[in-house]
Amino acid sequence: MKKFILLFLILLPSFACADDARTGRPHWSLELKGGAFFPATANWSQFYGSSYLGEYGGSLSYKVHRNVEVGIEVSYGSATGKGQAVSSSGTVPAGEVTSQHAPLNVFVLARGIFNENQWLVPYAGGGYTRMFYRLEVKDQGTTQGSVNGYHARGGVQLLLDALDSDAAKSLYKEARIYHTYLFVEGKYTRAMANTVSGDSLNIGGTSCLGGFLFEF
Amino acid sequence: MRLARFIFLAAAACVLLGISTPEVAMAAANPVVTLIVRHNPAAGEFGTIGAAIIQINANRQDPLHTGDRFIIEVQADNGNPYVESFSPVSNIQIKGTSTANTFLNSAGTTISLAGLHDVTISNFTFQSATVAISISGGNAIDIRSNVFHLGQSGTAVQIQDANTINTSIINNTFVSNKTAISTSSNVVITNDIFYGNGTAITGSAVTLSYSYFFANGSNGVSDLGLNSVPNPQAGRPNADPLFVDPASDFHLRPNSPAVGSGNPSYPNSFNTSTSDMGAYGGPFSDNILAPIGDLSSSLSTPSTMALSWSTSANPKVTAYRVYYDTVSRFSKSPPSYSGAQATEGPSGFKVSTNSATLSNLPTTPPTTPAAPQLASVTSLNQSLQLTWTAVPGATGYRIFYSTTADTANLPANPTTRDVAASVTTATLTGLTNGTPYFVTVAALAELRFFAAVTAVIDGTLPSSPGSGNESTFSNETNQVLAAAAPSPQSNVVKEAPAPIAPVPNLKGEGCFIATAAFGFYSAPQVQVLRDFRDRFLLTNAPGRAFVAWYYHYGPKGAHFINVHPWLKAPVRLALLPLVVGSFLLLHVPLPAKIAIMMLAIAFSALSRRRNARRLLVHSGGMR
Repeated sequence: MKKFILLFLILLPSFACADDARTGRPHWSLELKGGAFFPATANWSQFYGSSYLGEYGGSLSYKVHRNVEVGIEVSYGSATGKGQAVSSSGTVPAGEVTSQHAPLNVFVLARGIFNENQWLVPYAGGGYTRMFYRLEVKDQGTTQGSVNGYHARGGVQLLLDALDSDAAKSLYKEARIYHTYLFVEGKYTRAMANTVSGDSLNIGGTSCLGGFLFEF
Repeated sequence: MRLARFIFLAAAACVLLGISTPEVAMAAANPVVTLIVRHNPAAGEFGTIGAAIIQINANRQDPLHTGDRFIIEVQADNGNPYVESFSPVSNIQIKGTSTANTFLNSAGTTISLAGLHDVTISNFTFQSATVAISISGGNAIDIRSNVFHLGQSGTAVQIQDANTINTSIINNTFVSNKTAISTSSNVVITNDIFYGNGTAITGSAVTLSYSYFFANGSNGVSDLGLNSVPNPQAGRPNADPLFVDPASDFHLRPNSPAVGSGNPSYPNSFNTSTSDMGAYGGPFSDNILAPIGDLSSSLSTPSTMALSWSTSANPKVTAYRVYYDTVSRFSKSPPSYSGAQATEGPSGFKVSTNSATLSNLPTTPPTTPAAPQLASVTSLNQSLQLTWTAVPGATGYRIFYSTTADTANLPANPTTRDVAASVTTATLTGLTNGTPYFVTVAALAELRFFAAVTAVIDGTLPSSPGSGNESTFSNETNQVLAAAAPSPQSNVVKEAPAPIAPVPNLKGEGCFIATAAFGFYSAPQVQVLRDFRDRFLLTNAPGRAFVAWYYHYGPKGAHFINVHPWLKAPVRLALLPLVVGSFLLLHVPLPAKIAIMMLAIAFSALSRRRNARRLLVHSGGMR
């Protein structure tokens, strides 16, 4: 949380409204985001102590049109908890397990932007997901792999340029950053993986993310 | 008459101030007032040292008491440390009532002395802190008769300011600290024992004498000072100071070379004609006698337990008390013995020599206890965790386990393991994953006598271990007098150890051997083989069967390669045709595949034809 506040303060001067001196339109978007990931795995909280874990990531996309972007996104999450052991009285939590996942997404995104100074921009998109996973049982071994899947996400972006138009202008002059947005989004990921017992389950889940978007 | 009136007024003032146990030096200008600190304080006492210091500050607001000297007396509470960090005030003594039993701990700096004067810290055992005592500036700081046992990340005494003057560190024991003393100013160090520290002393210009250095990573100073140990030329060789227990009890044994070899300017409180080094010697040493540390026992007859121990080095000791019981004192709270079976008398009887017997002890075996119930067996990686129900009368439990069962379905030719009666859970380790084990538990009942002794100054006083007249209990010894047959075995549980499964328990998707050979999971060659598996093997039944077979044996092959790294290069070479073939099948368009195949067939045919011609020429030549 402190990191986000610090980042916000650092970037505060850039939250300025674009003026007419800016020529053309931005062609790229860079997102830095973080939030909570709620795994779809059943009984997750029983073994990891919480129903969610932190997820952090970023994306880079190219604007093929002012309203359409294609890009790649990568994020990462990790949780440490217990594994499951078979007991004569049932399955019980035991040992120490670290679960890591890193979805790599290729996406198409549609943005509802119709004016360069539009202060609220809704967006939605989705695409292909390659979900990388790694499960490490302490003093025992590691299981890792990756599976295919898909994802869908949507949210709103809040234009921050108006907070300090002079700073936004200078940011454009110095770094060619057209706009800065604060955004929140929801994301659903589905990636089916085979289990040792022969079943398959969704190792994706739902993410609630927020962050900053820079257009350049 | 005037004097009596003055005394009355002074005493009345102390009572009004709400200070307990006033020790008023009536004739002196600045009286000495004692504040008591203990866990669970009574009225007028304090629960923490910090609270007592706040009270002192409040009292000193009164102009009449600005110069009063205060003593904070912290009551020993064995096993229950005072956990706090505090900054004292000037003109104060903070002392524990027993060095060995007054523990003072904190997570950071325990005592911070900044710019203070006339402060004495004595008779504590510091067990955990980043810095136990930190001194910065000030005058006349006295550190006496403390044990510093912080572990290898703590500094015992740190003096940070070069302007700190008249600091004395006398009769302390520093054991297993990262740094015992770190000083930026001159400090008097005498009668101290430095044992097993990372560095004993850092800093120069220390006034060092009569100190004992043994097994430190570095003594830190080249000149150990007059009459310090080791100094073979002066008849003080490098030798173990012989603590009662080097891990936890730093009283000196009677034959310790640190006994009687200390600075004569600091005689022992219990015998002013001798001077010992360390926390349990010198003028501030508490009056708690050192416990006996080497009690041993044997059965001289089936019903007689013979005890012996070393004679106490303390000349005040005139007798010993012998305590015994059929249960260990460690299973009672507070620890005690209440046996009454021996002819010599009930527990706590007195002897004047360093041996005793417990005779005519009963030898009738106890009743066989009932069988326990094995409640659960949990499969862990190469181990099984058992939990069973407690059985009244059991003095221990015996676990039986085996990979086979006999005709009664009990473990056949079992391995056994005995555990104490205080536990009802155990983990069997070193087992084989996937192999079922038959497990049972039986209760044991033994007639066992436990004994301990204490050193006593005045044998006419009643038994009181840990008092000023009597030491705490010695180490405990025990003997089995009779044993009942074990109880019937519990219910049998058959369980196989198994690795702990992560959640979710996903399949590994690596190509084990290729990963081992190429070094990392995401190597392009490994990825090609993975893709080949996904596209050409997992899409048909024979392919899936091969993958299942490979997933069973592949990890073993990969492990073999990992422990024999020289195999990686030849395995990579052997896998190359597979990798190339997979790549061609996966990434080359169909016409190109056909072309490559035709080329291969043509090359093969050409090669065969050439070989056939060569053979023909060769055979013609022979002809």
